Amino acid sequence: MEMEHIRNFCIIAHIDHGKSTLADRLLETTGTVDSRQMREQVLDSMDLERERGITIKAHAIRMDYTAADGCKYQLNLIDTPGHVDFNYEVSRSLAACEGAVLVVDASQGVQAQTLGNLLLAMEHDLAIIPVINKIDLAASRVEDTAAELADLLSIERGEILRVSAKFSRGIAQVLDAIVARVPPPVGSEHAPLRALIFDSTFDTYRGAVPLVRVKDGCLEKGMKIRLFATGGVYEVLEVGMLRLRPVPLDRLGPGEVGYLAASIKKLRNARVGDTVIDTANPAAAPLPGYREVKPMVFAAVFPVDNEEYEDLKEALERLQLNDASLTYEPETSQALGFGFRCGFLGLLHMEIVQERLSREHDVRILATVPNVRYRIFLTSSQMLELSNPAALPDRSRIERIEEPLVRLRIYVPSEYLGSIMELCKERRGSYREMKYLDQHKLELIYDMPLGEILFDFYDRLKTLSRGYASYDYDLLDYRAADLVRLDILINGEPVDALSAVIHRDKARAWGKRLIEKLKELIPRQLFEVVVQAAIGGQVIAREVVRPLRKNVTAKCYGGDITRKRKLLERQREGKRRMKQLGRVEIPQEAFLAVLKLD
Amino acid sequence: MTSFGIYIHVPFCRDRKCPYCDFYSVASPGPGLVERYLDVLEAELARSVERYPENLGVGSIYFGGGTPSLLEPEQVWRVYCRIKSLWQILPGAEVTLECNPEDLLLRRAAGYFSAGVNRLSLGCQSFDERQLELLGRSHSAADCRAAVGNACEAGFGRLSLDLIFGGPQSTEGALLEAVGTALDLGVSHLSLYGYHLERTAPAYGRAELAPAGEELYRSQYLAACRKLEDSGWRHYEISNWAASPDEYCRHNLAYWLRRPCLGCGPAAHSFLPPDLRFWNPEDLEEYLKGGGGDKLSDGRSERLDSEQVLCEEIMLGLRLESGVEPAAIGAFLGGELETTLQALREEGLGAVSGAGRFVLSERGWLIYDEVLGRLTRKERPSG
Repeated sequence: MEMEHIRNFCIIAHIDHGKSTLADRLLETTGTVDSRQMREQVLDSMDLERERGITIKAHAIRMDYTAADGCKYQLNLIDTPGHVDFNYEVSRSLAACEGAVLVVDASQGVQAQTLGNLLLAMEHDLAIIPVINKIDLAASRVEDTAAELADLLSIERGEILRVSAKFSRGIAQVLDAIVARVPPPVGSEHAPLRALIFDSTFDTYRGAVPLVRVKDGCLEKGMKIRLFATGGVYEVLEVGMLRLRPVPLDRLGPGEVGYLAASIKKLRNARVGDTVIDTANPAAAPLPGYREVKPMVFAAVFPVDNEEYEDLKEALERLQLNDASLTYEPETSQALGFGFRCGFLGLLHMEIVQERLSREHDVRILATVPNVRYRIFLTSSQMLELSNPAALPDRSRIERIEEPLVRLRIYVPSEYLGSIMELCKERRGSYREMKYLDQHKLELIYDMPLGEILFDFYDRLKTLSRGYASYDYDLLDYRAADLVRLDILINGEPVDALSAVIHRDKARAWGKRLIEKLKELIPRQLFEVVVQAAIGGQVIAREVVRPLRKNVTAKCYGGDITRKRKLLERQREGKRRMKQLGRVEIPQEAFLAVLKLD
Repeated sequence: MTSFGIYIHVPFCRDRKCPYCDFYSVASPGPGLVERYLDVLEAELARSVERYPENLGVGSIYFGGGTPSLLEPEQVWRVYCRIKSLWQILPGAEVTLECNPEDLLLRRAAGYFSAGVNRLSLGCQSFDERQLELLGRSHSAADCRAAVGNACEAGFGRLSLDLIFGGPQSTEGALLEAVGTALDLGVSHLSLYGYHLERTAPAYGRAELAPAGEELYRSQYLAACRKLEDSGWRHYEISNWAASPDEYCRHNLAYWLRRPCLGCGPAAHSFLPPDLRFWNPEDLEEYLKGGGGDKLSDGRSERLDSEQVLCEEIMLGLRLESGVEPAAIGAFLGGELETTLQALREEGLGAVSGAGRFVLSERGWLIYDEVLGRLTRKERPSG
């Protein structure tokens, strides 16, 4: 198709503002999906996505639309994950588009995620089509939201579309606006091939199947291609476009969006952001913006049953086929046995992986509390990157420790400003800036250690603001901090899985609260259990779980035996789920005690 | 197997159930109901010959309840005769009847003795009037003394008393006094039960009937242990003491040693070694309707697998002064057996006896449930 009849766009929105519902309506109105095939949130194919109302993987779908001018257009909707954890993926999806539909819930107004992604879209010079959704809701504040958007984008209110995706109102106007306002792609058919990989899916039979946006040249079946960053050379077995299912085509021309299959065995060989070039006529330079994605958040994952270690390993392998940003390496814990230290893009990514492990792969897991990756500068002038707190070298060998610092943007109604600033201060944030977005809403900017966001920051933020505040962050850099390792000892033995790296000023209070919680979570048993918190080998707090004093079935005659044995079986099953450390039995919840601190 | 025990469950109580009791019973039965029950009981005994063949001897009979002393001596005799018509009752067989003290007038005691009963278990519970009232008993301390006197006069040489400790507002002093009284009265067997309320017991949740705290429970139990030991008694099971090994309750030992037992009457359980347990419906009407029928129907039976058998052996063996083979525990603990037993020994909870068996101490018995769970821990290969 001629480039002037192609429009590539994405939809950006805050969670639950109606992105997926709007996408469904666009597909329906253009006849891409008929009502028979229609189910809620067509694009979110994972159960988890549909359930949580989030998009985890990017997708692309082609629609044909005859616009008001009578011409037929090819509209490519590139659906992006909206979450901060996946910012890099989002940026690559945006780089494949020329326009973005910005959806804002009429009752909620502009939120952090909207803004974060909007800023990204503006950086990519995308044409923005503002849409206010859910105008049917009783609680909608259409005009306030319009004012907020007009202000934000420096546009007239008249340019803002008003729709109800739920009731299919205003959908044609959105399509017409896409045709009218999103510029057609620019590129040369005769230049050497350059196609951007903005996502890859994995197929058991075909291996990694990259989704691409052709920038220059043509991508054709039978062509020999090279992936710029990884250097792999492949023969294109199939190219095509995506409807609800893949539809093979002879070629993808400049400006077009589609997929290619080329027997690429592993997902990590088809990296998001990489450039596809033609080996016969290779482009000299790749498309800009490629970088290797690095995990930011780490947690060790252990099978609840040690016998399930192999199952866990297999499940991680299979998950990684679909999720190249997941990393893992074997880890052995004295307390929890054999497991893996996994790296995630962020907390949401971690939750998703943990949930998929148990849901899709049926492995019961025990995950430790998440932590960031530290840079340890040793006195020997070596530097090591550390993602397991228990492996922190002795103090005497450490010159300094650096931790990742993020730029945090919080969007919050002004009445909650005080308590949110208090929270940020408590979390070692340094105040940078504050902007009024409108009369009621503020943008607060802080620099904050990423580690401080990992523990319940989101929950606290939501509680303090009655759910109104939202946040977003970018990695800034690493910064030195006075960090120490807090160890938990049970009957004198350190429990590696409970070690944490923490700021010195907080370590004492933290340790005290943690062992109090552990005292609650560890049941009384045959022997006394002494729980201690220690910093650098020095015990700072101590709690004792007294041994059981009385626990006896006094009568056990003929009729009691079966009942008593069944009770015993239940008790044994409960004990099996506990981890035994020396003489002590520790319930699994204890390993998550840190997450349960008030 | 050459002999077996027969348990007869008498599912009746005089008027009201004791507030701490959750055994199955029906209050205030009419005479017709008792007769109907006895008819079905006889039929059930007759049918049981199928699984407990005639060449077996009866080593013990135990009338439990409920309140077996609601049965007239003639009714007990009727059951005894029925049993005798079906199997050989071995010489020296132990025939026990549980008895409420207030029922045991001299004439009645003599009647039971003539009906073949040679051992009585008296539900005294306490010799303290206030305690008896809180426990909802309808007898007095004087009734208990009189009952023991009548039993002796009627010819019973083997008497057991039940006492409850750790009950509401109980004290160590009162318990020791009760134990002392029992010794003075010349009984040869004592069962001391820790007061405990199942959720289904009528007294559950009533503050004034709440059990004593755990420290008081412990001190009462350990004090009674001391006193009986000083008197030369044998503490042969968690809750049972006897003046000498001859006085051990042989019927109950059969349960703990996993010997064959036939249970008749509603809610009664039967066991055929090594692995078959079956039981009657816990409902008098249902029992009367089908009591003589096939016992293994309606899902009221279980075949134990080898792990369950081993669990039972440990569960029951640890209740006894004779303990269990360490090897049996080793089947669960594997390589952790030695360190675990040593840890228990260091804490004074149990030790390996001269006979090479692992036996819990009295302090170990106080936390028997937890020890048991620990010693039968499901195997978890450690990393």
